[in-house]
Amino acid sequence: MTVRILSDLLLEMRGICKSFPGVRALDEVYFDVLRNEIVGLVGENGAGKTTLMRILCGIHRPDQGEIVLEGKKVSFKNPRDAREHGISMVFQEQSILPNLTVAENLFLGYEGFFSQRGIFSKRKILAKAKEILEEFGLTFDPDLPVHRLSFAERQMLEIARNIWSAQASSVRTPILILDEPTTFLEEKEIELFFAKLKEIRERASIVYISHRLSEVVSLCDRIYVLKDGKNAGVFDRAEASEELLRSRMVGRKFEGEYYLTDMQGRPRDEVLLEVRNCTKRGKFYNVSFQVAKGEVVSICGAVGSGKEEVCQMLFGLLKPDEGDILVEGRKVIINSPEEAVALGIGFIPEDRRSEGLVLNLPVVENVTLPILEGLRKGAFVDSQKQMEIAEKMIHRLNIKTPSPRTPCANLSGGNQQKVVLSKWLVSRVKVLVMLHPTRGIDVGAKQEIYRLIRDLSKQGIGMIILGDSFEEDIGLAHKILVMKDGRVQAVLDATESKPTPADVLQYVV
Amino acid sequence: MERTISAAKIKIGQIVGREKILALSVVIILFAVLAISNPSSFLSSYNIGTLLDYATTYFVAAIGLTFVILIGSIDLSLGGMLSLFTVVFTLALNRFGYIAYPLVLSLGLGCGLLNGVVFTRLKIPSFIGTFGTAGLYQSLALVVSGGRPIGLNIASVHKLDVLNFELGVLKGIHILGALLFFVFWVIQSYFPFGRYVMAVGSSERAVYLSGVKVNRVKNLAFAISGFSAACAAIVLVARMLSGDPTIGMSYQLPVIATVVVGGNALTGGIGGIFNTLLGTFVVVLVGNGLNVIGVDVYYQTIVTGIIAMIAVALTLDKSKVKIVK
Amino acid sequence: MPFIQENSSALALVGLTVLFGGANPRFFTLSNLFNILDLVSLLMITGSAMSFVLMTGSIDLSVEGVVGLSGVIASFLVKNLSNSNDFGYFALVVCLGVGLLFGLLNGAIFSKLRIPSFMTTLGIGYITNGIGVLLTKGNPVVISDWGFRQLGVGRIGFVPNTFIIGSLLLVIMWFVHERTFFGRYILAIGGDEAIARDLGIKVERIKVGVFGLAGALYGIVGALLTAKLGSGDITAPRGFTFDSIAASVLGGVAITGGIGSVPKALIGALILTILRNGMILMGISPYVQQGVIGAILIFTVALTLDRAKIPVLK
Repeated sequence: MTVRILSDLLLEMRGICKSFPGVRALDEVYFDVLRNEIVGLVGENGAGKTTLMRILCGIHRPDQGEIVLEGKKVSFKNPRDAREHGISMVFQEQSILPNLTVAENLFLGYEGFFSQRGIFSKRKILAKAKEILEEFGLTFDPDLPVHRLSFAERQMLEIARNIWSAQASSVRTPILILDEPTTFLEEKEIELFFAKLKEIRERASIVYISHRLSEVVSLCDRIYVLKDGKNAGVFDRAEASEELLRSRMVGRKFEGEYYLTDMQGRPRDEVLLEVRNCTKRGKFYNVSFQVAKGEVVSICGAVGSGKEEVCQMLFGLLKPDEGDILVEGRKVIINSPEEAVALGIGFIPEDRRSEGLVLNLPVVENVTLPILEGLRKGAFVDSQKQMEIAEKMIHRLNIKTPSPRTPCANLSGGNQQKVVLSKWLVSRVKVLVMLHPTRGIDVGAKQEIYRLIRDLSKQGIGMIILGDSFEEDIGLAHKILVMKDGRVQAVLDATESKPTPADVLQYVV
Repeated sequence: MERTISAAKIKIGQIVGREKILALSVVIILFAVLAISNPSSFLSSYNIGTLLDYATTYFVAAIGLTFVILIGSIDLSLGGMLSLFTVVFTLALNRFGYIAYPLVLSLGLGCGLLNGVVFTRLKIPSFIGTFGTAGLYQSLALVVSGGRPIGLNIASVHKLDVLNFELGVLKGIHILGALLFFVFWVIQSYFPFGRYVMAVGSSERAVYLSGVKVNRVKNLAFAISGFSAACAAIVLVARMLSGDPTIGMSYQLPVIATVVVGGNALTGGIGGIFNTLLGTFVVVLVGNGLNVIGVDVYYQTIVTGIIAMIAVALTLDKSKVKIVK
Repeated sequence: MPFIQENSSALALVGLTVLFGGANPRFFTLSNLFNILDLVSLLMITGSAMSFVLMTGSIDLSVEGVVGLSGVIASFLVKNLSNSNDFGYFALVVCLGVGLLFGLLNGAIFSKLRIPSFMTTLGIGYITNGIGVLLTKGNPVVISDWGFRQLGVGRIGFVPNTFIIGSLLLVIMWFVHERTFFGRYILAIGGDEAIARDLGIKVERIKVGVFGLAGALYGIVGALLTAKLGSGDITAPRGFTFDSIAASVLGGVAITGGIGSVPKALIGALILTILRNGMILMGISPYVQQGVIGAILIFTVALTLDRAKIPVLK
């Protein structure tokens, strides 16, 4: 590593620890930012990059550790506090108000600079806005409503706003955190964007988070790698390369036994679901794959890969612009979850507490929710049958609950997930789409879910899984679909011999 | 920690029906206080009769509104519907006879469905959608009636006999109220529809993602609201022997009050028809009690309004309203 | 295309004027125009007040109650046939105060107890109506203060006094909206409350302020209404809530919040008034008008609703 002069050190984060229920997101992480540099932050999904930056910009507070800014210890109570110290983050879901004009957004919250006794001069505001826009090389009219700007323009506007407001608060060198900024930008826009970032480097420091290693390597002065919530290396631009970074991002011992690979059977020949050349502009392009009876297909990809959107399409939450979906050989159009369920497709959403279960209803109600119409004795609900079914599921999936009448809110995460699973088994689903099925569940319960997945596979149920880590995706799958930026980059076979995480990573980033 | 507390709260609520107990105790206390302090006026058959009359009218109108509130929406067109239906029912009785009954009930279903469709098809939030349809119904009421109350023909009065039939203090309308209570309580507790209503109110997204026809549940809830408004209009006409195009206005809030005071949360998913029944008695007893003590009738509306707000504040599920609109 | 979209209400206004004017030349007579100005003046005040509330993403159903109550109070305070008070124009100040009080109450309950605005304002509207009925016991108080009455029925040239007062208030409202922090933040809150909060805007304070401002305006309208009618009738403002909301929506104020302005409220009030006026000239019964406007309201909201803003429809 090259020697750095101490006065160049703008920000130090030391010994940062942060845990959320069920997961230790950051473990003794260190991260420094030098003055006027672009520093990259890379790592797998869930490695802790976003959590670390959220702590930096005041959204979360660290459980342990300290942040030292310009030599002074700081602790941010909220994002506004961080902003006043010059630190701000630009996400994908922009924090710009489309119903206001450019100038209004630029100065939102900081109008005090243009007013006397609470009254503004519109002329002054527009003039100052024009000045600032020119500084950043932006040519749009400050009186324009923001909803008329393109995504790239809005992003630049937000960056300009953050930097300007930091400097208005007398911050010498603002720190701008960019989280996956190029995901929605076109090729041409990206070049322009990088040029602007380099200009901005003259007056600020930039933290650049991205899964696109090629960009990180070409743009950043230094690069940090995080893996499983811990530091996995710091590299200067000179020494960094995509392969080096990749090698640091993965490398856990692959424990096949944990994923019960010995229980993995072979899928049958019959194709249950086929996706043919499906495209949703802006999300995914030309995606094709098949799911056979009993086959487990994992889709791997980073942010912006389109994997979540493909899953949503299969459950009727998204309509493709082009392409076909075939269920058991027949072309179908899935307009809503209702129709998906009627076709035998089930869905386990990412957020089981708000989307997977009706929390304050008892287990028995949740388990029988999709089939309630059919569980009737005359016009009434057949409570007896309902109970029988619920008890059968509780027994079969080994759901730990005091009684079938216990509200689901009282169950642990793992058992809640089993209830969600049982809901679909009860409705005799043919294909199950699962988004992060083991997220937030303890180790023991995770294994039970893996066992269940093996069981379902034996029974001939097809599954599409978005796992929490490459290891999980690899361990569970018969077939791995790797997506990047909306396209399928590779299809890896995992029935006979398992690919390594590095094998997968090369296509993801 | 937070999860344990909310889990415990839900557990207790499940076993004991906390909001029901509160409402029930309030009803019993109110009744006892009034009976003991003013036995002669409060317990007189005239007063009990009046009590039951108001309770029936409010409760029948509140049945449908209960379902709408349980799914987490609101129906502000109740007043307009009541105005329209009393007028239509009276006119129809005068001109067509007994067919007025099925006519007004179908009209009720129709208007309710219209509310539902505006909500589910046009996707207009219920507070503004039903506000708009309220204008429509109110307007129709005025048009059809020419702006004036319509009296029932002497000849037609006997067509209301089954409703005005008296057995001591009980009238036919009270029996109707009890019957409707029973029917809809069964529907809410034992029909799949009733279960779905509670589920949608608790966690609509999860129900939607389970493949349930959520829109159908919502439309049906609004249809029932229209239907019960029609029943309430029938009760009103039986009492007043006339139809009034402006009568609905003053019912909108008290009926909402009966639903929320009974413990139905505005946010949905908590409560039920029995809760509404309790709420009705609380509201009616308070009003009646004020009368009996000799308090100006004019204070009643103020008190009802205040009680309603307090009840909403208490039962609101704050976690569901991250951003108050 | 964007020009048409953004100025659709102004264009609709022009279109309506041409339509009704063409159908009935009486539309353009001086007396009819005076009529329109007179009718629109109160509506533009309540309409812009309602627009402010709508811009923050809430709704105010207490209009009739607060207008009615302050009208009743005005009738008690000026020279009248029931008591010996003679406060004259001071009554306007009191009415403003009363309206402000209930408006702030709306805001406080709404933000502290987190009760949705439709319920809060519905309740307050009901309660204020009840107080008004209580005070008058059903018998409106007739006023005899000629000077005060001029506020409501008098005119300068052919412009009604109410229109002059309304215009003045509108200019003030416009200024507040365009040139003060308070006014600017209203749209930010309606646009995305979470973002506004993150940027340090004191959301609760502004919401309470908006309700208070609206209430104060309703108070003034109440006094003016009493001046106009010559008595404090609690039932006089019937339909005001509906009209204020309809006017705002027709002018282009979004029900979901974040979009609106004083000019939009004014245009909406004009559209609604001309619609009504035009229908009367065409011989359409006032009873039918309500229904027509209700349908137009639903239609307009359906067209302009920003559905992306409503994650779960309630």
